[in-house]
Amino acid sequence: MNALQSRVRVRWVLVALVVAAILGAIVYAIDRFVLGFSPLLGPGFAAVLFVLAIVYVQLLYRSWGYRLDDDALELQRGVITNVETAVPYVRVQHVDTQRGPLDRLLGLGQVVVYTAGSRGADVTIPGLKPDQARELRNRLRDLAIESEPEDAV
Amino acid sequence: MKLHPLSAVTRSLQRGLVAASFAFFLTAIGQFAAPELLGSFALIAGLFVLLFVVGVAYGVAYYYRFEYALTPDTFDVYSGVIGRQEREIPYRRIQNVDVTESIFHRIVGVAIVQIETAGGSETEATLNFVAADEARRLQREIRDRRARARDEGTADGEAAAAETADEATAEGVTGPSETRHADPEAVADRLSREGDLQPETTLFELGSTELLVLALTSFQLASVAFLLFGFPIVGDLIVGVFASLTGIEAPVDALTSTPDLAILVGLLAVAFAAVTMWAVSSVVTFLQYYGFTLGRQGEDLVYERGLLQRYSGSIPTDKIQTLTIQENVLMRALGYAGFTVETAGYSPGQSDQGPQSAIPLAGREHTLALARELEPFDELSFTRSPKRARRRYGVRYGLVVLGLSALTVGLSVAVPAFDLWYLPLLLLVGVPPAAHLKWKHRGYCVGEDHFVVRDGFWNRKTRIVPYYRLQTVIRQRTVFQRRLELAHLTADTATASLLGRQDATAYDIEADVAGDLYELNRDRLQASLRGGN
Repeated sequence: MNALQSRVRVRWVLVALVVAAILGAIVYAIDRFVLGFSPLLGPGFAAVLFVLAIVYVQLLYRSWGYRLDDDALELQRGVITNVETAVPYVRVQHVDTQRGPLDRLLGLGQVVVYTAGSRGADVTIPGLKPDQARELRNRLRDLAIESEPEDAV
Repeated sequence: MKLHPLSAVTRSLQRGLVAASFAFFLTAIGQFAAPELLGSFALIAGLFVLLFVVGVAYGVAYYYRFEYALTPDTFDVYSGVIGRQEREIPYRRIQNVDVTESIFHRIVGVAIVQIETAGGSETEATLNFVAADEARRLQREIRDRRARARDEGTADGEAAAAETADEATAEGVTGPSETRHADPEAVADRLSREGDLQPETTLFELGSTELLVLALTSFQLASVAFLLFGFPIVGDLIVGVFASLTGIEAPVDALTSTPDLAILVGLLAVAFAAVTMWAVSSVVTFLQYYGFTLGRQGEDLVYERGLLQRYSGSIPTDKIQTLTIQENVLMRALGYAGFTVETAGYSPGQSDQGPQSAIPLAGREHTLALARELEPFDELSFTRSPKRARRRYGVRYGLVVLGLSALTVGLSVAVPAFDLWYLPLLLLVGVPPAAHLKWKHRGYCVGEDHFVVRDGFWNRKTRIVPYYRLQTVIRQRTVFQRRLELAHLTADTATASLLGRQDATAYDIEADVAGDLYELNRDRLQASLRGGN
């Protein structure tokens, strides 16, 4: 299994920071106007949440892995629910590379693989280097063509 | 060719009235903007007439500007009054030709034709409406032409190089079909072939007993909507029934004066709702499936159904993704079952009701035999989840009941007059049987060419997935499952409908078995692809 770029943890932690800050602010507001318990409740809540998030991100990073097998793209991820997905190359409809603003800032990119399936219809591999993402996309495209889908559905 | 002339009349009336009703909307706005201007009745009436005429003109223009044609390779529709649209649909790509006749249509002898392709999430072309015979003719003609386009396509495709296969087949079809029209022998040949295709072989007819059983055992979502609208009336009825049963002529408020009484009334209302929904469901199902027949015409399964609204559609057998055998508690008790098929394409019958019903209901053995005609699967022998999965369900249900009790305890503390806090605890008695039944009806079966899973007590669904239709294979384990060494395994296939989403998942099976199945499904897919299925 290939691991993701370790920088992806920074990305996830940044997202967690924003979420923790928002939730902390909500708790602070509730405390301020309804409970009147302590002004430290909000920031404390945010801090605990953030620490938990850091642990979670670390675990998530460790759980993530992808591999190009001879018949399928294999993914594994998930902390609480561990999910393994095999996407046969024959079933790949199209492949995207995506780079959001945060990705570009950190020099990351992601690959999205689409199938016609009902669930797992699109699988995302986050936290790749931009050229790595492009390479993976091209590789998947070639593998999809090689495996000759006479009819994708 | 044009639509039925009567469609011009109905459409222009419809459009005219819609446009005219706009007049009231405009005057309502005008009242605010310039009240003195809109004082006169004549102005409103004038506006009304003007808009009505515009609407009628549009309806008439639509009729004159709408044309369809069967060309050698494509079905063409030219439409649009102001913005023109010219659509050419290659026969090869057409999946379904559906014909719908409402009760009005049947009186007048017309029908709506809808043409579907695999792409997109909406109907590719709608002819609203043509004469009923014309609809049948189109349905047959298009199916016939498509079958031949495909035959020629495959024959040509084998000869042509792989990369140019598509262009080559397109040309391959044009050649012979153009000469066909010129050559009298070919025309004769075509006519005789049409004759061959005409009455399809009937596979199944829904008998009157079966229709009754189906009506009485079905649940339709439509009945929920009915209940919501009918609730005020039903509410009054309940009060009436309660009053006549107990002899208490109490106003409605008295019934809900104490929380305990309110709960009892609530339970009564739920029971009443269930009976009503059942009755409504029965009627709806009866009307929908009256006179259901299923036949085979070449590569298509053709079905027809409905009492008031007659509906005729088709299921392309070469596009079948999964097959689901459905048997709810009542059907199982009476020894009946039905099955639905999921095709990758969109179809109108599918959009609101999930996948299409191929056989709504038949004797269990008969259903299995018919299903095997579509997908020849082996004898089904299911492997159940390990016993510790059952314990897992027991714990889960127990926790739900305890949670509910905690809620009612909290409520009884907050509301002094509420004493029935222990009521949910009675449900604890039901937990072990519920867990057992859940466990008992879950299972998987690994066949030669199919992966089969089964789930559900109330409505048991047996999903049959051919290996060559697999899209992705997913194995997942939650923290709790990892502790018990259990896992879910999903064999995912293509589907068009999000509503009727069908996951073929084997729940809570041994983790290492799930691992093996994960590999096995992938291997079998590859094997079927190499085998050239």
